[in-house]
Amino acid sequence: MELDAHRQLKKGTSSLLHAAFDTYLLSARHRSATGGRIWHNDREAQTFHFMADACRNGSATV
Amino acid sequence: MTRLGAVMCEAIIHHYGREELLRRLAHPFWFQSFGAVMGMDWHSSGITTSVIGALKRGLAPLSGELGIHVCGGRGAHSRKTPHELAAIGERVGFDGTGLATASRLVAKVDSAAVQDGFDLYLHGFIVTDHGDWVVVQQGMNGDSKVARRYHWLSEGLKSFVDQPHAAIEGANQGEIVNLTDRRADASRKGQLDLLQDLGPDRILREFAALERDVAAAPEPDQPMLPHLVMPAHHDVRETDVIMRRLHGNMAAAAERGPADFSELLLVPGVGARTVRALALVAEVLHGAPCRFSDPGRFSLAHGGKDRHPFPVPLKVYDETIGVLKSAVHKARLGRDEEIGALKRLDDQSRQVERYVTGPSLKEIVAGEFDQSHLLGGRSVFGWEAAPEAPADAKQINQKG
Repeated sequence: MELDAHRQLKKGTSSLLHAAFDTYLLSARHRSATGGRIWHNDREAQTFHFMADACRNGSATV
Repeated sequence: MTRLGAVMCEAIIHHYGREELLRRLAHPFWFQSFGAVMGMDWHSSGITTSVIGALKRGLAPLSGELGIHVCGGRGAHSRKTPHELAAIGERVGFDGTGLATASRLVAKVDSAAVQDGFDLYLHGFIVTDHGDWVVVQQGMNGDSKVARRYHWLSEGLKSFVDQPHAAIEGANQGEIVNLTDRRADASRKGQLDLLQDLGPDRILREFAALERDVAAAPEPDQPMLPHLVMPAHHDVRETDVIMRRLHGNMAAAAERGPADFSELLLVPGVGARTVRALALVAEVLHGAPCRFSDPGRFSLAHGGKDRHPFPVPLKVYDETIGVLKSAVHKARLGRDEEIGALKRLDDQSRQVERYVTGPSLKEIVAGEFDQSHLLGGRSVFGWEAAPEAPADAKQINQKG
């Protein structure tokens, strides 16, 4: 897949990401911050990493 | 720091508009350089809290005039963001409730959904009267004591589910999943219903399948997202600074100073040093994104409050603020000579850096420490004292 199409796909998924977040996070499946995990496995977490990056403008580790 | 940050934002808005200020705040490299030129710790995670706090205090009195508002902050202040947005929305006319939802959603993505181990403790939401926004938020990993900062920009994102993209508007782009076009409103509502019916597990299986297709794409040479990684050491080293650029800044100050800052140069010692600081400030105002790959360089303008690379020369700092305030004030009255001088200073830096040379970073920093007590050097350790006289000089003084 070409890089441009890759970028388009990332942009196209972002609105679905937002809809998914609205549905999922606000439906109280979120566990407490003290050790609970939202996702069932690392694959799911990685998928959201990918989609979250599609929405962000940048990041810094400081 | 509050005054310098506010007047620099005024200058950027004057030259380039509010939206450009948001774009810069959304760029992690520019944000770090902005904090460094204001005398914050150039490498530290504390720069984020300091910059957001300084902008909130500095821009609050100017919000009506500039049309820009800073909400949120650290800890308890971050939780007030939705209320602040609602109140501002009522005053200026944007959809405060909608933006409060955006604020909550952005925070949830980085604090909970991504689960990268960085718990958010700071959320800054900067919004214009037109409802354009940038979010800068930061989390800390309790185990490694490293912080991660996330930058979000609303540009092109008209609403969280209504997002026109140039890539989609183009014709013949192949099969495009166009969920964001306004004509797809009905199908989008149907999709939300479907999402609720599918449930989160099924949604994630669908996205995982999507990612498998995307993973087959060739790895791009550069990360698509600007990602800044700051070193762990406190001191500024030559590896942290592109020396060619720094020598360009210094040479430009020496060449343009007599032409554009002649009155400033009449102030002995402080004047010439201020022009050098202004060369770096001018680059933060006018520089392209690629100019901020070495944020540590901008700490050479006004030092750092922790004495890295040297104590903050307060006399120079105050002069810098004075020059900028005068320039911005006159520019509002239609007199662009002073603000134009800063642009010329930056242009000169760009021209001369190709061929000038200069002292090493060690020599520059040593010189700053030598002069620090004369320039009002100050840090968290207090006022900077004069350097001790060498032993030989002491003996001569005692004998005489």
